[in-house]
Amino acid sequence: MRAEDQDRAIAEVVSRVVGGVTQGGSQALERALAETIYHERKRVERGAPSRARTRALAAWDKRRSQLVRGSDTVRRRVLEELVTGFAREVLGNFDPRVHALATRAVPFGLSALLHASSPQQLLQRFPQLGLDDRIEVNGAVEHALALRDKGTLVCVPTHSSNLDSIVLGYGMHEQGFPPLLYGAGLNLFKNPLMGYFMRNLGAYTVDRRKTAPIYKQVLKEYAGVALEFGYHSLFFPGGTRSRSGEVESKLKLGLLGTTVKAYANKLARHDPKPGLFVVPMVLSYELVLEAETLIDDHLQAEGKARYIITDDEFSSPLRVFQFMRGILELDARIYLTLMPPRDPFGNLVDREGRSLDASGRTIDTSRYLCAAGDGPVDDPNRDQEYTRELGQQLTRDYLRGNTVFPTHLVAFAAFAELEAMHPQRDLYRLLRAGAEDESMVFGDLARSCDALRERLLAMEAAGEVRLSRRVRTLDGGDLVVHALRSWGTYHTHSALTRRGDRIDATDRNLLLYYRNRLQGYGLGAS
Amino acid sequence: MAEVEAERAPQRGGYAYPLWRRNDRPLSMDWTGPLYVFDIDNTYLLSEWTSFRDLLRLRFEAAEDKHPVPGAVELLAGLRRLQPDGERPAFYFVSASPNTMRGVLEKRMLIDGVLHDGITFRDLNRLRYLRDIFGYKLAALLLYRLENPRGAREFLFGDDREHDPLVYAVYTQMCAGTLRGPELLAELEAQGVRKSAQHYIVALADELPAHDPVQWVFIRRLRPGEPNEVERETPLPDRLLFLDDYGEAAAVLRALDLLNARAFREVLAAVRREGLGEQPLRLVRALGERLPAAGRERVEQEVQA
Repeated sequence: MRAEDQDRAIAEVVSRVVGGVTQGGSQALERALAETIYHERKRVERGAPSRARTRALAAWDKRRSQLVRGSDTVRRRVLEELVTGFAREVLGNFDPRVHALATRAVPFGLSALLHASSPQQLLQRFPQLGLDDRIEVNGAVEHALALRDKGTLVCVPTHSSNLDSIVLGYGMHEQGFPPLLYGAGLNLFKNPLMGYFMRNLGAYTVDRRKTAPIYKQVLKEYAGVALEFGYHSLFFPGGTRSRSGEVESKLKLGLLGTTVKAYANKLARHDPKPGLFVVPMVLSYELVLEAETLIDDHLQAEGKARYIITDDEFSSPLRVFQFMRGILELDARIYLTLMPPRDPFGNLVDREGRSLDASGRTIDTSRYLCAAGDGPVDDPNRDQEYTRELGQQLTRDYLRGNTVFPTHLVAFAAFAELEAMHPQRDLYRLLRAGAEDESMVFGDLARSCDALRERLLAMEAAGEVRLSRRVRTLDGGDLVVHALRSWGTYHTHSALTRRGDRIDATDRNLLLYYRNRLQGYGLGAS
Repeated sequence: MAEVEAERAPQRGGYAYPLWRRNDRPLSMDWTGPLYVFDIDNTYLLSEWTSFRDLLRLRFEAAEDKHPVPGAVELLAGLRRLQPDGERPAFYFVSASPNTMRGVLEKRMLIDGVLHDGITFRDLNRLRYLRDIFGYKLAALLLYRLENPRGAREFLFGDDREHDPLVYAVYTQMCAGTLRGPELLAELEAQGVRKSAQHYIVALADELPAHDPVQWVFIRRLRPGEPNEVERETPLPDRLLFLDDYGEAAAVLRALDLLNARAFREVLAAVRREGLGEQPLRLVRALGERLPAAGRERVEQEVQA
């Protein structure tokens, strides 16, 4: 957020959060404070012993005694202090100078990575580095661009990798989109250089260790206030990276719901540009940097899976380098597909920003929120239902915008072969097994891939999915060879390994991860 | 990349040639499909060296920095795609590189999408075998021949830098049964093969039925248009073809119906990108009636198109 808007935004957030709590009376105020103190104290206690930790615990103890002994006025002041502290912590900064520098540096840095197959080649290719041939932005780009001056864009991409923010930032900038405000996990700010850039490029901090409901409320209000101030924003409705490899089908509606409220507030303020345009985006990778960690985490017994992963492949520069090298060697593309923009209620919008009903007729969505002849009426239940509908539309958009790569297609076909070999085994037994007599015949797998490819081609023609150039043009045998190349070039263990004319599923977890990208299309049971 | 274990050569008379090999595809004994054997250095990958520094570079460069010979990857992919008998053709690689290079070279193959059914590397822990490329290659070829079906039709690929033309010529004679026993021993002696290895190779050759599976041998000239000493001075079988580029090999294989039209075009395009492939029909025309007339006509038309 720009410096001139920051104080206003903080005041607005504090007013809304504190106002919301105190509306519930003295008991609600006491409960909110008690919860916050409890969660924050617990968080601090989990930290390693240090002077800072001791000081922080003492501060929370002081607040606890204020909660016990203080009047409502004192409690309200304590809450205001807490919320202000949270809001300042969350607040992102936007520095146009840093943005200008980054938009010049990122293409070089990222393209250096994407084009470097070895330090020797990096030097050889130095003058010709470019990213245009690696990140392909397609879909409703012009449509979304047409809306940027007619209201506020809310970009909602799928989330597979920590590289998403970088790829999105670059891809959108190259297409002429304005800078986007976005929330990023605290772990991404840990690297001082990266943290500096992220903070000054509009990223606001999301500390997932903070579990106090008040903190979550601050985050939500901040996102909403930014939208109302007209900041084009980006957030991941899946909440976190897809652990299973599936295209997100369950979205976190909390943050998504801020769009309806922000729209209502804009209408109430007679904002000349009240429109909020939700742009669904799908990021599709042939290889996913953190695939091995993510699927292992997904397969952990329920409740043990980690919401925050701090020690994955993204934290290892060597793995990031290997990944980028793989992308180059495979002549791989990253697809960023923009789907047609929608309003906060899930209706499509035209290039003028007008909402359209299912028959393509223009509709006045202000009536969704306003009583006859009046301004917007506050109704959280109604807004929740609108948001749920928007979420459903987004999950359908994600499936349609997903680009299928050979790694997805071959993994799906190979996993189906494994399932057919052992129809009686459940998923976990199938993943644990791995005897040599379970290998597949290369030719059989190639034929299965041909059959699956035919089905996908028909689905693409019907607009149900997108296919990468290789899936469109290669036959089953070449698709298998290409998938083997992709996995073998980057991953520690390839999902499939060929020995002569036999194919072994050497890393079944990884196979499942890539296979899952085709989940949700009704292509077969798992 | 997952390492697949290689095996040592089987013993004969208590001795085994020091090499590491794999044969991942047991072919059924009635199999009659094409079987391709490729050398790696200078045949599949550009590995020319003129100085010790070049050699060091080749030894330590990463898989990503290695470059295939123009058209080689396209040719290998095209040959793999065509399945005349309903089964994928068999591919073997016999490399004169040490087994320590296996990881890098197999990774390069993976990057290029090159499939193989078996690969042999030298075991250079015993340095006295360093110069014995002739004996090594013969032993490696014979071991595959003994395991593979009699009816497999072999197509051999090498280059004129090392001993490939002579090795393939001797191999062809050994299979046909025209070079065995004392004569073979004398030939091996003349080529400087170590004594213990000589007896090993003779023993392997004696196990072969007298049947010549070799259809054609393709030798890539490192200097296009310049026949080297071996080519000029050694009597070689007339199925041994010297190539200036893989466009010429692709034309012959297309005439034999072992490549489809698309693969042929892809090989030609790849060699032309490197400024080669000026006369793709040179060999086809030189071979004349030794190739099927319909095949020759088809290739002529496709090149002109």
